[in-house]
Parts: sequence; C-alpha cells; structure tokens
Amino acid sequence: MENENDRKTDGDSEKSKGFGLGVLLGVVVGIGLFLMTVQILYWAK
Amino acid sequence: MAGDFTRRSFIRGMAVGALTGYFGAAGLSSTVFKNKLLPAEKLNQVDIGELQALKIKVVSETSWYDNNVFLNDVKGAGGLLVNQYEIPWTIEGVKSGYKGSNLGGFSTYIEATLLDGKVVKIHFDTGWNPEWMEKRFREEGVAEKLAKKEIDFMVVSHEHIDHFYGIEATTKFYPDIPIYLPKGFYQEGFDLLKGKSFPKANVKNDHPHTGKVTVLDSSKVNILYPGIALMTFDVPIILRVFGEQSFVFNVKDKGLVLVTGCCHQGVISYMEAVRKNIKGGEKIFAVQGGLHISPFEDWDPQYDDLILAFNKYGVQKIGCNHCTGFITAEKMLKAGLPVVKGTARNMSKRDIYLGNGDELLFA
Repeated sequence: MENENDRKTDGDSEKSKGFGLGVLLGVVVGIGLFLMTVQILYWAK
Repeated sequence: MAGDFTRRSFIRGMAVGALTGYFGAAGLSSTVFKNKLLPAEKLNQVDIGELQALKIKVVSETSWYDNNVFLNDVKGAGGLLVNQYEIPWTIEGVKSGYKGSNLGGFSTYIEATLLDGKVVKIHFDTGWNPEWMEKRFREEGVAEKLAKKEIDFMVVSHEHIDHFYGIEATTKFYPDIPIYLPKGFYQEGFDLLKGKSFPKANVKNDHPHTGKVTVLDSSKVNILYPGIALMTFDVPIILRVFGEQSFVFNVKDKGLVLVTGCCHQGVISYMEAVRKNIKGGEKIFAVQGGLHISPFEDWDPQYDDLILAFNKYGVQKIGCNHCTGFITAEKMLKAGLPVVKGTARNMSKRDIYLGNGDELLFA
C-alpha cells in the first residue's frame, strides 16, 4: 500500500509539472499567434 | 506510465496556455496598452488666425415651398441622378409658393470683423428664383451693398439649383463681383455665369458675370483672410452636382464657427475634417446653415448618430435651417442640443430654427 501511495504521488507531481510547463510554453505560443494575427491583418490592410 | 501522464498534461497545459496567451494579449493590447501600442494620430492642423466678431444673417433659407411639387419635378424627369439643367422645375400654380412659383433659394450674408477692425462682407450663395432673391436682397440691405460694391466677394457653396441658379439677382447689382467656386462645377454652371439660358430648367441669366472667378479645390485649407477659411469637399451630389465648400471662422474667445450651405459632405465628415485640419478643431463652438439630415422630413434611426455627434465636438450653438429638416431640429432639441430658435418670418414656416431675416452674432 505504501508503495502504491508513493507511486501516485510521483505521478501527480509529474502530471502537474507537465501541465505547468505546457501552460508556460502555451502562453508564449499564444502571444506569438496573436502577434502573427495582428501582423497578417496589418499586411492585409 | 508517468511519461504518458506528463505528455498528456503537457499538451493540455499548452492548450490552456495558448488560449490564455492569445486572448490575454488581445485583451491587454486593446485596453491597458491601447495608447502605447497604437500610433499617435497625426493631425495636420493649420492656424487660420482669429476674428474679432462675426455676424451671420439668414437672407433666405426657403429653397422651395412645397416638397411634393419639388419631388414630383425630380421624379417626372427621371430621378435624383438626372442633370439638374434638364429638369423642368415648376414655376407656377403652387399655392404655398412665392407668386405661384415653387422656387425660393438659399443665401446668407456674413460680416466678419478682423482683429484690425476691417469688416469683411461676404455674400454666401445666391438662391434660385431671381425675383424672390432680389426681393430678399432688397429687404435685408444686401442689394444696396452689392450695388455700392461694398461686398468683398461671393462664395458659391455648390452648384445646386437653390444655391446658384439665382445668379442674376446678384450680378444685376454687382456684375463683376469676385466669386469663389468649389472644384467640380460643370460647364453648364460656368455658361450660366456668363449669361447662357437653360429654358428646359426655367433658368436664365440676363446679367452675365464679368469679374474674377476663383475655383478652390480640396488639397488644402483655403485661408481668405485671418480667421476666415474655406474647406472644399470632393463629394458627388444628387442632380449631377459635384463638390461643396463650407466656411470655418475662428472668433476670438469663442472658437470655431462653421457656416455651411447644404453640407452634402455630411456634418460628421465636416466636423471631423475641421478637427484634423484646423487648429482648435477639437472643440467647435457653433455650426450654422443647412445640415442636410432630413431635407424631405423623413427619418432613419441611423440619423440618430448624426445628432449624437454634436456632443462629441462640444458644439455650443446650432444655428441650423434649410435642408436640416424640422424633424431633425425637433430631435436635436429633445436631445438637449442648443438649437437657436428663429422668428418664422418672411415665408419661413416654423420658428424651430433660424429663418429668413434671423441673425446670429458672435463677439
């Protein structure tokens, strides 16, 4: 039982680390996409 | 197993992050950083100088007397895009007209006192029916000033029938009066000025103009005297007319006073052009003349925006008349706008706005 609990804790930690990294990278990508949209609209104008 | 969870969580995080980043950037750039990110508006404001005082007298704002007769003339000829020189305008049998004619005309007399005390006298438009216009010119003392050549120049706002066809009522008294025309006058207009008749349209000029004619275009603000400027707008207008020019006066301690004939350029375009091109244009003190909002007393909810625009520019006095329409004046008053009332004399129908013989003074 102890081992199982330990493994769950490790899994949760990995999960939240992955999510956090994803959010960070996603924000950068999102801002980049927004700037690209603005640039494309500016060119189209 | 742990690696799978991480990858799935990572992708989920990326999706959340990308959406947050995209919409967050959009939100911040349109609110908090709006003024920092958008380039500052480049204004090309010209200082037109200042006047000591300005007097505006409505000589005639009644261009025609029966809207239905006027519209039937236009419809009968083929519609609003037909050349105005080809339309047989009704000159008899109209009960509410002047001696049975449906034709009246638009004309304003302006006195602008410069800072050095000189008074510049301006004849703005010459109306339509020469008989009616001569009567009004005599009644308001304009005919006498024309005959004595006391008037400095005439400005024609645009080529429309009711602003220009009565040219002989002016040239009869002052044949060589200097005239400023807006760019866009058709050859028929120049021919009428020189004495040609257009029998189909019931228009003639028995007193050919012999003075200087200056055509102004829209490339710049045309300053005539310190504090007096004309702005010309390249606009196509009904009845095959092109171009209109309007005044901008700058009265000391008051601000800009805009005086228009018909304002076919649109009242918002006019005020916006003044804001962008004339020093002090952010605040417009007064607007006078025809505003062309509901000339045939019809109304569209979109016209409400035109009324709201007056608040944006801080207009403190509205001396409208002519093609503004009674319904527009009613709505302006209802919206709390400072419309100056008239006296409903000399064939002007209602006192809701400035009528024939009424005056506005800025000093």
